[in-house]
Amino acid sequence: MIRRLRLDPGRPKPAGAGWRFHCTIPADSPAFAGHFPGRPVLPAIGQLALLEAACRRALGAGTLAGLELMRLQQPLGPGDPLEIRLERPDDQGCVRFALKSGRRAVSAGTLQWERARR
Amino acid sequence: MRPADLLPHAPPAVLLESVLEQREDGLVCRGRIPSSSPFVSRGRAPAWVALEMAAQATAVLEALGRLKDRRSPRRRQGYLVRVRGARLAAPSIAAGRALRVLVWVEGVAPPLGIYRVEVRAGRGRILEAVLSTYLGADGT
Repeated sequence: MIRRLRLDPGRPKPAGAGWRFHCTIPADSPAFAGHFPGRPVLPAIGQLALLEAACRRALGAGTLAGLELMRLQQPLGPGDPLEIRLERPDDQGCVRFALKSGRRAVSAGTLQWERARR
Repeated sequence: MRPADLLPHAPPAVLLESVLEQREDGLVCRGRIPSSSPFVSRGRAPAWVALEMAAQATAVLEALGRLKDRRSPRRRQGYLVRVRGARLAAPSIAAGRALRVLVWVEGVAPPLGIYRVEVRAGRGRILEAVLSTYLGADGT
């Protein structure tokens, strides 16, 4: 996990047929370093870091193995609140997700989750 | 011209170090995830960091094309707006390892562009995906 870029602690909150998580994007997150000078925007991979952390909390050990689709609708900046919603995976390990900041849709799509082999 | 001279990013976010080949329909770059990247932990980065590397390569390709028009500023902020069919063949990548980033133009209608990308380590493919990008206005 990236330093100072973490989900709020605690168990995931149930949301419909899945879970939701919250956090605030810290203004001093190193993820903003160099992206971009004078106009900080959280890179899309910063969203993936948080999505992967959310999947691990909800689904257990595993890795992000792919993205069927990810639509990036609005950028995230320093101090923005974030809500992550995950649906339960289907038989193929596909997990639908949506990220919102307040009422703004940030991104949405379907990721491929690969459970760790025991 | 070095990718760092064409991208609006600054270290440690710059993941490309050179353009190896430029073609009519794409290009090949060499990239490396620096150990100073905030996404590196214990010498390795998650494989999805390769998506950012590939997105930067599409920006380099776009900037090289725009350089033909001397009125256009060299650096323009672009945004990744869609990722489709991304497949990651490994969970992580060693920081500092030389990677090859391949980009093919699928379609461009400025400010939108669609590119097929691959990131390879040696003979192995780490990432394949189709990326859609949006180029910001002049001066952004």
